Amino acid sequence: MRVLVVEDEAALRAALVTALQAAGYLVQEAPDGEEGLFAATEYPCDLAVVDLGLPRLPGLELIRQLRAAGKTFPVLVLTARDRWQDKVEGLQAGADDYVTKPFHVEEVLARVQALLRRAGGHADPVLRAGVVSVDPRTQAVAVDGAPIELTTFEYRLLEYLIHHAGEVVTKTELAERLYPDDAERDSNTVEVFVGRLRRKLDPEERWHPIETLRGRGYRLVTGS
Amino acid sequence: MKSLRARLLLALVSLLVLAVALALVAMDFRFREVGREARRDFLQALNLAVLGVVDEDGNGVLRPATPLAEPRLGTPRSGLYLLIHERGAAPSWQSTSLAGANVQLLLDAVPGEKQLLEVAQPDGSSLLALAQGVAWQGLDGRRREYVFVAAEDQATYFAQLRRLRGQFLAGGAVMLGLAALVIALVVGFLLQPLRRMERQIAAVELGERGALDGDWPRELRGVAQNLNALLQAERERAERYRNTLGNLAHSLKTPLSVLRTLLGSPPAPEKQGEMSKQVDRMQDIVQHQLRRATTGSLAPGVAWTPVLPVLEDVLGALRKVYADRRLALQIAGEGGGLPDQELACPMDRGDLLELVGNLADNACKFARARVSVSLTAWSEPGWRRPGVQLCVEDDGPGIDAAQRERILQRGVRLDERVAGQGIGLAMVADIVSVHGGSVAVEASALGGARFVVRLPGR
Repeated sequence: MRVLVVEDEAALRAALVTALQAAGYLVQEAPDGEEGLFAATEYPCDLAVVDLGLPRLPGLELIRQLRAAGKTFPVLVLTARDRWQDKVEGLQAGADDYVTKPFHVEEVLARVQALLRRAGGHADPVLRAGVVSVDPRTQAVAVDGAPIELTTFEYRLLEYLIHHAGEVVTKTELAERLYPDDAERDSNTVEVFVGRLRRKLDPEERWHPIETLRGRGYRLVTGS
Repeated sequence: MKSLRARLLLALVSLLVLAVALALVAMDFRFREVGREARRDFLQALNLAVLGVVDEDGNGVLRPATPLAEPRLGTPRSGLYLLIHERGAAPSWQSTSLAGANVQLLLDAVPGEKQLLEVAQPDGSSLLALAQGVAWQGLDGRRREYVFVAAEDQATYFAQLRRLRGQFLAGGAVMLGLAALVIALVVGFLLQPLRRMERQIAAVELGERGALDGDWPRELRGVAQNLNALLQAERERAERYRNTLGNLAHSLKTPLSVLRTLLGSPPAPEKQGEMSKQVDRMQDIVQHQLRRATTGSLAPGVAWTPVLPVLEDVLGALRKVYADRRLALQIAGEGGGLPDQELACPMDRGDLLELVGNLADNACKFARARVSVSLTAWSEPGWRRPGVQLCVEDDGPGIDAAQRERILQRGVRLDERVAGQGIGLAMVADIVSVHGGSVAVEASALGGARFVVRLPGR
């Protein structure tokens, strides 16, 4: 999952980026509103963490412009102003949740995971599709209850797939969730990783959890 | 026109000038009318006098038989002239005053007719002439028609008129001047209370006095009262800031000293938890005091904020925040019906949002599936606008009767507060008390807690 962090305070941004990366996300960062808007419109994005007090383009304005541009990914607002007036304004501008400063990074992480889960239509903190389950909080993956060890890349693929379980996911989308930059992207790599993921999830080929739709992409099966 | 004084003066003086000008014009008109009447009567009398003494002489020419008493008629070019002529003929007789005068007075009038005319003369002067037609039965039995003309030069009259106008104008100007002076004094007198108020406000600013006092004119009483109320509110706010700062400083002392002891020894990993707890506590304190400090637009006369839109905004926001809990959030009015859209309370929108936000958020946190907010009016005798009653209830576990009192205690210092108790509710208590309302916790019919907030009307 790609997460954009727009925060002008360098130390805070670094802490957020580190924590989000550790949680398995591909993180893009922007130090001000203008760059945030550019990153969010020019690159794929699954969620944005936006500080309200941003230089160049205020956070509220950034969110309004994103929504006006038709971007529907969840937005988590960080704000030092914790009056209800500010919260209501932020949510009305198009944000989906807020965390007031100062905060624990774990709190932000939990909200990010909850928002992503909600966006994917999952009610339970543990994401499930068929026999596969992923707990983004611990990055624990299990098939039919049995834990499975995945590499970072494999986990990134699976998390994206399970957030979009039942939907067709293109190779490009998956490639974008593997690497932060275009240069390294290559659909062969995706095929290789999907192949490895299949072998780990279903070594005996009992479940066939990942379907291939020729020329269109992949789909994680929801039924058992 | 920045000055009230200048405005008043300008208005009054313009009115005055207009009135004096009108009076002068009217007087002038009346004077000329009276003057004309007097001169006509004089000329008429002259004509009658001549008519009384005329007779035909031996040649059948009509002329005064005896000399006339008016000496000006005997003085050449005296300005007073008499002339008798037959209609359409040359003068049969004219007064001595006409001798050598270049005057044209052959006017026509049928018998019985009288005409008053201004006759312009070749030399530019003007005569007022009365021509009277008379039918005369001559000695020879013939009936002849004569015209008697009496005329007077108007120069003297015009001079008189000019002099009089001069006097009028001078008198008017003096009157205007005096009136303007009086008006200026009156305006000064009228504005005196305003200047007194200005001085008192300046004194308040300097800290020499606490409020405006004294007996104010009825028109200024409201202003003085409002100013005093504003000053009072300002003072209370300042007092609150002082208390807040004091509380903040005091409540930060404890965690700081704990941290200091922890730092005194070499830092050990097992102390990190404790240090982190103290930092959290300080953070909590700062947050709480900051919220308190920014609450309360105390000044009376704040705009009335409609309550329903605020409720809808807050519930809209909470629906988003708690989207995955799928709570049913409802707003109801009197008897469970639609809420009254007009209901408003004299509170700043920010405070109302804070109040409703904290209550509803609290309810959402504890609710199992339902949160209900009801908005109703209540009234006391003498209010022109009703008060607002807000009930926020949930179907959560509820609050023990023993804890209900404590949970809403206002101004409880953070370091004395029960751990885990939300600062949002203390905030609610603060806002409600600042606005003269009340808040109570009860058991809800839904099974959880029910917070009842009553805000007074006016």
